[in-house]
Amino acid sequence: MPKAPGTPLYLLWALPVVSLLCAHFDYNYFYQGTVAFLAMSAALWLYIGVSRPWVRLTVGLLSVPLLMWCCGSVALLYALCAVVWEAAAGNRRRYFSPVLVIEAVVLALGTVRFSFLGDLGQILTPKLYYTPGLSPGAEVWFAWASLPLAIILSRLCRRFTATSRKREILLTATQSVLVAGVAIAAAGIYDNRESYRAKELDYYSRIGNWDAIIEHSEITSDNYYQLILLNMALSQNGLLAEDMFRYGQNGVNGLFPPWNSTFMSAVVRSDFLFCVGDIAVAQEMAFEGYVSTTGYGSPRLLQRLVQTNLIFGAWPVAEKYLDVLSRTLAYRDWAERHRRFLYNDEAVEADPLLGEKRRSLPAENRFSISLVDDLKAIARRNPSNKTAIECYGAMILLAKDMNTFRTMLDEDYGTERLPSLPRSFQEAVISLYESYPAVWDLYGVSSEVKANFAGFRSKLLENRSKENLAEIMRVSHGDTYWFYLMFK
Amino acid sequence: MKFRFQYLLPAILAIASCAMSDVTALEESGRPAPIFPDYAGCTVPPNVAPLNFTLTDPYGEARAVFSAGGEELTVAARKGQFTIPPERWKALLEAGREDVISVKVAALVEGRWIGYEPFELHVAAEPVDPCIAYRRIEPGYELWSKMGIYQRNLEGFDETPVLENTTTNGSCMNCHSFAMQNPDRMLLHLRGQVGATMMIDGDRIEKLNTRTPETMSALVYPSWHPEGRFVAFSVNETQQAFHLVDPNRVEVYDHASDVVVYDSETHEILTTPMLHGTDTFESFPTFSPDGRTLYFSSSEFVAPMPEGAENVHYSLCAISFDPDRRSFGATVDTIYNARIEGRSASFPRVSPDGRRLLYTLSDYGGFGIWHKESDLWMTDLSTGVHSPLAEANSPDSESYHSWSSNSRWIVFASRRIDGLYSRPFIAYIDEDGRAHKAFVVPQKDVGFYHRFMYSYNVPEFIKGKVPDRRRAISRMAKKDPGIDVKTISAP
Repeated sequence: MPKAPGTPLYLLWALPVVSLLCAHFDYNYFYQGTVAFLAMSAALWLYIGVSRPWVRLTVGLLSVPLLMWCCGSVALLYALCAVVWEAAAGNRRRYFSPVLVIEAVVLALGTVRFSFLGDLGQILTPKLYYTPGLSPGAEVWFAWASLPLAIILSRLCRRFTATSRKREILLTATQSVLVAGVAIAAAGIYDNRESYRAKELDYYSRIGNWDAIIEHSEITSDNYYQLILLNMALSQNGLLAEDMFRYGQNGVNGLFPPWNSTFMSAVVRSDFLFCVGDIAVAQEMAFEGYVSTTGYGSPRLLQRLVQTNLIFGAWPVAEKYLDVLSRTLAYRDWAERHRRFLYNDEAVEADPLLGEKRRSLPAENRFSISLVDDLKAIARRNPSNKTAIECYGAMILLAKDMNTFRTMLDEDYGTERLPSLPRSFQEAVISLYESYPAVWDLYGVSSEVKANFAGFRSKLLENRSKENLAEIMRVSHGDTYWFYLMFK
Repeated sequence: MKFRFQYLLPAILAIASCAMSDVTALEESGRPAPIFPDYAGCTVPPNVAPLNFTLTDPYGEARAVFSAGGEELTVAARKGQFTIPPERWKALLEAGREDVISVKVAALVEGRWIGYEPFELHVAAEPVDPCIAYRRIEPGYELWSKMGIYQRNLEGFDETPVLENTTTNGSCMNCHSFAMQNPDRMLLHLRGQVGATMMIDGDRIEKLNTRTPETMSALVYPSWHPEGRFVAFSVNETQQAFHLVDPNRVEVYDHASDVVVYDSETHEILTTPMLHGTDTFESFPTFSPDGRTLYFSSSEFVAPMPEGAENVHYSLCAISFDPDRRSFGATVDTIYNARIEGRSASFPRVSPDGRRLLYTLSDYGGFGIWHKESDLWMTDLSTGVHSPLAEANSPDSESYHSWSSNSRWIVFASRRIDGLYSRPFIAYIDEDGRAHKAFVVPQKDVGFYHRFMYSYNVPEFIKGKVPDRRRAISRMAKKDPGIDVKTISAP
């Protein structure tokens, strides 16, 4: 029996590959599952390649524990595939092959008995390669099902051979269409475009390419994560208070996500807090994310921990983390570049990023009770940190907390922190003092904003009895704070 | 082949003699050896694993000559560290028992052999308990991934799990505690999906549901009664808050707390108004070795929190306890008065010989692990004199501590190495109650602590290895409904 199905059916073996693709769309699936599958495939290839039955059985008996030790639950798949192959091939000694399955199950029982793992559900199934505590979908099983299936099909179709060149081409084309069709169908079912876009934007935020985030963001996205990244990008470009309502804002959660004790929440909150200069809480969130990462930590969050510890001058811990990153392939250069900051306050303070963040640290310690209070303290400590004052104002506006906005105007307008009001703040001034136009001039509301408000009011009065008032106003003034205040 | 063997032994001897002559023909630097971990001047037990170490300054080659009594051992640095052969180390310890091991280090620096000032390791007469148990956890705040309770053989380098959360549905586990260092009698809490207190007495395992209508929380900080029937616990409403700019990153504080005693025979929680005040925080209980006194920390109630956290100062108090009648005394004695002293004392632990009370002293609050100024202090219970463990403390945080069964050794968690990750340190307490310089629990690989991303939490001495009951504990935790404990007022 050949190692592969009959020559014309060689594309059957692409089915497990396509099946693995489905699993890869799910970010809770571990790539270790694919590596383990490849190792198992190699071991199976070796097994099938041994012609003498007793030697082959010995190879199988040795491979099962080796696979279980190195790769986990694929050892059972290996044993099952070996049994299926022996049966499909009709080998004389095939009745001995189930001993491989028995061996795998006994080893799995031992693994649980001696507490290497908690339950058989992990060590006997592909759940081992999925985030613990979550239930995987059917897609993690596809590869496990398709490999034995391919073996069986190859046996059933063993006489289905090409007798002519034309027929061979036809068979290959049919299989290609079949595999491609399965791949496309799987991609259609399991691919997640939203997830793809989120990953793209996340990548830009990670490398600090804020322009790309703004460019690629949809104006009316309902996705909070994309909105958070967009607002972060606007704040980093100094455009948050100017342009935020040009995009579909969805409350405070679209600027700063609530804490839901998940890795993603920790990452986004840490990024935002670092951007605005709330270093202590950014560090806390980075640590929460780092420790909750399944597997062996997150280099991205380790980088954040390095930065925050350098800002605080916690040198030994920063050095420890740099040493960890230095042992990675992708982050080695980054780590080496940051070594110059160790035990060197002057270098930290001279650095555009770390120095700016250090200058924003509050002069006096207090507890972080609310982000709004933290932002206020950061803005006062470092008036050049425009991100902090803009986010402070933006949070108040998104919460529609006009009393606090009034306090902010009283305390900050005209100071070095807020010498002039950006567009959305000017619009909020009009909302706050709608009946007192003279006050508008005190806060430097531009004639353009005033004219826009006149248009808004006129449109509102004109259409106030219409059922689709919100939509009408959205089309004409959806990019203003007045619209957000009234209709969102 | 014959030719090679012919010259092999003379060659080895020649190299060895060169090494020795190198170390003796050297330039004295007059400086102490820059070693890590810092074992210089420490007092060590006669049964401790080899104290492997490294030089922190760059060098080409290096040798260390250990000498004690008639024993001498030369170790060449390999792979960046001095790895001491275990059998030769045992012989050195035996030769230096109740005396010293002298260590002379020399290094080849820029083509010249440089000699450092010799340092000494004092070898105590009394052995240390052979194992410690601890929780391994990232020094995080709320979330976790993998964690477990582990035990380490101090006479070697073996570490084995007592329980890992891979077998308990990823639950958090904490507050492991042993009755008088007995590895067969312990308890621990599980939190999360599988939440319970697991009591283990030999092969008898109980799962307890310890949240009751009368107590504010499930049972928290434990301490066994010496006879094993009772366990004192605190119940706490604990939260945390983050400093915006402070070396102490986080503040862990209670909104309320009380002390209770659990009776393992009746599955009842005993309380008394003396330990259950609404105008005080009571926490961190511990029994005296005779079982007749219950020590605990007590602070005036402070609100609001965390704004008032700096005003929480715990005193050390004591109340009598009658195990036969299951009753408490009518008065509370104050051992350390925080109102007078102005600082905060937590986690009292009495030495098994009953002579000394060891505790953590911080500027405020009760969670010393997050306070860089927190140090270990001791009270002589016969005189009432308080004193810091000056030789054992460091500028960084020293916190959770426990006594060895012979009252001569303490193990505690210190963050002195990198300021964040707690490592287990051991210190000798001599007959006069003076602490000697502490040493970090040795590792085979000297770089281990630098790479290791977990803290050692709540290190406890145990008199032997905890038998492997992981499967039984996990099954019980996951499948047994557990025993609901009841609260009653003690007479």
